Amino acid sequence: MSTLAADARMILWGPAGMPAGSPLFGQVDREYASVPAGYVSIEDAADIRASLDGDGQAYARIVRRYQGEIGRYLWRFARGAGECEELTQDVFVEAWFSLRSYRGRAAFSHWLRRIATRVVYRRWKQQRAARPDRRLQAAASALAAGQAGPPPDPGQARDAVQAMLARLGPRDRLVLTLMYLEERTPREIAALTGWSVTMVKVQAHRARGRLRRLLHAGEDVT
Amino acid sequence: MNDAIEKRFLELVRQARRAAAPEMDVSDAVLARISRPPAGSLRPVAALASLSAVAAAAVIVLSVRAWSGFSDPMTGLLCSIDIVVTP
Repeated sequence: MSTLAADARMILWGPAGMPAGSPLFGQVDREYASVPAGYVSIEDAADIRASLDGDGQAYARIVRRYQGEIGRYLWRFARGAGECEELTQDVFVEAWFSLRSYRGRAAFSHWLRRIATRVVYRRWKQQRAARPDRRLQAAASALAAGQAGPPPDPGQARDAVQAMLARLGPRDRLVLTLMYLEERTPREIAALTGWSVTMVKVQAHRARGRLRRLLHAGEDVT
Repeated sequence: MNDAIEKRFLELVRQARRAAAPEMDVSDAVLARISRPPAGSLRPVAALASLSAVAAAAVIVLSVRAWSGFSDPMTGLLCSIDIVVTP
């Protein structure tokens, strides 16, 4: 265990075996034995600890430190800048209320990404019955019709891909977004979604089949 | 995926990955949201329940005092039980 990592965990969980009123204490011995070195930086640990004590400014520092990374991740899933910002807010609000459950078993950014994945998936399930966006549907139809033309700019390409994936169910959409746009492996997708690797592979196989049918026939496969 | 449409889709995906994410600062909005109680919070209900419990306890103590004539509530309560229980 590196000295820095040990210091960070000392700030986050306190000295081993010394109860200190927080639910995090009492887990100390087990956590120290299981946490690999280098996952929690000293500044993260100090700010998490202060946030758990109710220091909003410490949490604001955490938000400012990670909002860029989480925003870029959510940009793969969001339809526009407004939705991306809403989702980013939702992630950090949910993270605030779940902060006590962060045990340092993975990097803090990975823990936030897992929350982000859950927030997106939940939103998609709620939006399932919502009316489709006509502009995006037109882009998807043009793609499905195989219209050739000059390569679109990244923004247009993003709209078209989003629109096509939005016609799939939430599970298919999630696994294909992570696979195509985030270029994640099944193992990484499993870590982000909480599914097993086998389930990710099966889901990806079925989702690709449904996407293929959608691309060829333009049929509604949700 | 190996025909023209599917190749075009994969090309679009490659292009889409280059789309730049918007810059944003959500820290103030997040702070505002976490500092107000979440929707459906039980805090008002819990406060009302506590107030009702205190009021009920006060009514019981005063009733026992008035009925038994003892100023000490515990003695009054014990005497009240004794009066009710003893035939």
